[in-house]
Amino acid sequence: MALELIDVSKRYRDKVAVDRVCLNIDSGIWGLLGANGAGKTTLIRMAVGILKPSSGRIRYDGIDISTLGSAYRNLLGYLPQTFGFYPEFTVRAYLEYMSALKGLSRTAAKGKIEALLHELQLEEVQGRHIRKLSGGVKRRVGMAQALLNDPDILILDEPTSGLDPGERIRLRQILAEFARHRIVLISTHIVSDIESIANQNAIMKDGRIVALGTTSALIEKMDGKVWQATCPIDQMAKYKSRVRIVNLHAKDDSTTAVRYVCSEAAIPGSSRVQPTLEDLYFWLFREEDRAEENGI
Amino acid sequence: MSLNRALREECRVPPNPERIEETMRIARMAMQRSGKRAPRSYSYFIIIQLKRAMPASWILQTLLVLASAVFGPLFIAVHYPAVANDPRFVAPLVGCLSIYIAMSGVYLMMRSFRCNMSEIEMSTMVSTRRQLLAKLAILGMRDIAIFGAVIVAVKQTSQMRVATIAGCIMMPFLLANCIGLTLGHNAPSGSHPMRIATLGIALGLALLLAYSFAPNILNLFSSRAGGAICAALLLLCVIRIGKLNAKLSSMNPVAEVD
Repeated sequence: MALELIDVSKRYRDKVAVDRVCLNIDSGIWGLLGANGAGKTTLIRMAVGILKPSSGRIRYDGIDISTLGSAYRNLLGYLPQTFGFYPEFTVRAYLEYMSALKGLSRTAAKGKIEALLHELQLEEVQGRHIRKLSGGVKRRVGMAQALLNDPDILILDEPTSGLDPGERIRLRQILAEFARHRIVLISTHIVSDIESIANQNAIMKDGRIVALGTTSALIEKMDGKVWQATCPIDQMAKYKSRVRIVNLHAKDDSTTAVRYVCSEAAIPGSSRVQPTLEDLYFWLFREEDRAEENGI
Repeated sequence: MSLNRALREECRVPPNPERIEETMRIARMAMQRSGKRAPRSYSYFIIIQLKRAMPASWILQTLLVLASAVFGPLFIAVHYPAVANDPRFVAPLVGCLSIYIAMSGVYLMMRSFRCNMSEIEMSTMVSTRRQLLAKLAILGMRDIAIFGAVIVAVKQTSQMRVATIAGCIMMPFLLANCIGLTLGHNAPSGSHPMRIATLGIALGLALLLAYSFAPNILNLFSSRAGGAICAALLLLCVIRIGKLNAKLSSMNPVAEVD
């Protein structure tokens, strides 16, 4: 089971939204990280098959997805960034509607809806209008529709946007359970959302993949580059231009604890700390910025 | 490519390892699907479209229009017989009604864009073409029911010929559909109810002005020229729907091949 993106590009007149992306996505959770405007949603839409690549091919198990047609859609569960619904829909009505669109028979749909309402703890709100639900519950409804056809490939575009921490954790748990023997591709700009659950990560910037690998392998690249120090607040300004600050935390009125990314200790009294994916994200984007500044 | 087609082609072309491998993959996929998936049901999709995609407010709206279309002429016939028998009043009335019906149809066709449902609907098993056809079929049935009732009601209460009543209905209806579909085709996400309502009101006013300044326009509806204009407008509507379908399909490149 593998979804292959081979030299996939998408151009809109002068703008290149996705630039020759190559990815071989096999089973497990894949994180697609990138800042807003990096090209994640465009790439996701092409992988879903609702946007045609300007060049390149997308294949599932070696077969082009345009050849697979509805067979590909049959394997697919998709939660778009903008979760839309008709205002008169209740949770159950929405799921019934989506199951009909996914080609399920009435009997199959009924059983699947009941199971998903239970699994995603939506039983209590099944008769309520979606428009009246909180962001987190809406997202769970979105997840439920994506899982209706028991998909082999689950593609989620910014699934955690607008969720509170509790909802985020719950969504992560659902995904971790679901991902066994399946492909789950999650696009997000929130590193912490996928750091703990993604088996593989691809980091995008300006339409290109700038880093790819398992979470641990990517984090390994940052070994020795992440530092923590306590610094007087009035001296912070001079360090800000020299290091990439990941986190600042005021300790008292005059000092602040700073976590930063730099190839060497730049602040006196710095100690090395265990890197995270977020540190890498900051580091990569800084390197990219420098390259741009130098005209590379 | 379906398994049957792959196997047929396999027999025709000289065997080569690449082709055999691809056929094997397709066979694996077909086996996987047949063993795992629930049977597809287009009839269930149509029922759900009727039940769920047609909002309660829209059904109520239709019932109101239907009721006013039937009881309105009856009420006028009882209380204002002179007006009911005068085509100068009846024709603009049914014309405006048909514009309203057309505009509510356009609104319904474009609703998935407005409610951000188009993306999620495109990623499902039922192709955009089939979804469009289902909506057209449902709207078509609704419009036939309403216009049938209007024709019967007007015929009962006035001395207008059926052809004239049909012309009074169809010409504004087709014209409104053409304009509305063009609007939807060019800016699907911009098919805001206010925009559609404004267009409907503007067309209604234009129709009333046309009847006021050129009352002889009524004769056109029952003439051959009127029939030809209706046929041309119908053709334009079909072209616009075809273009809308092509646009939706281009937004949804994973073609339905099964």
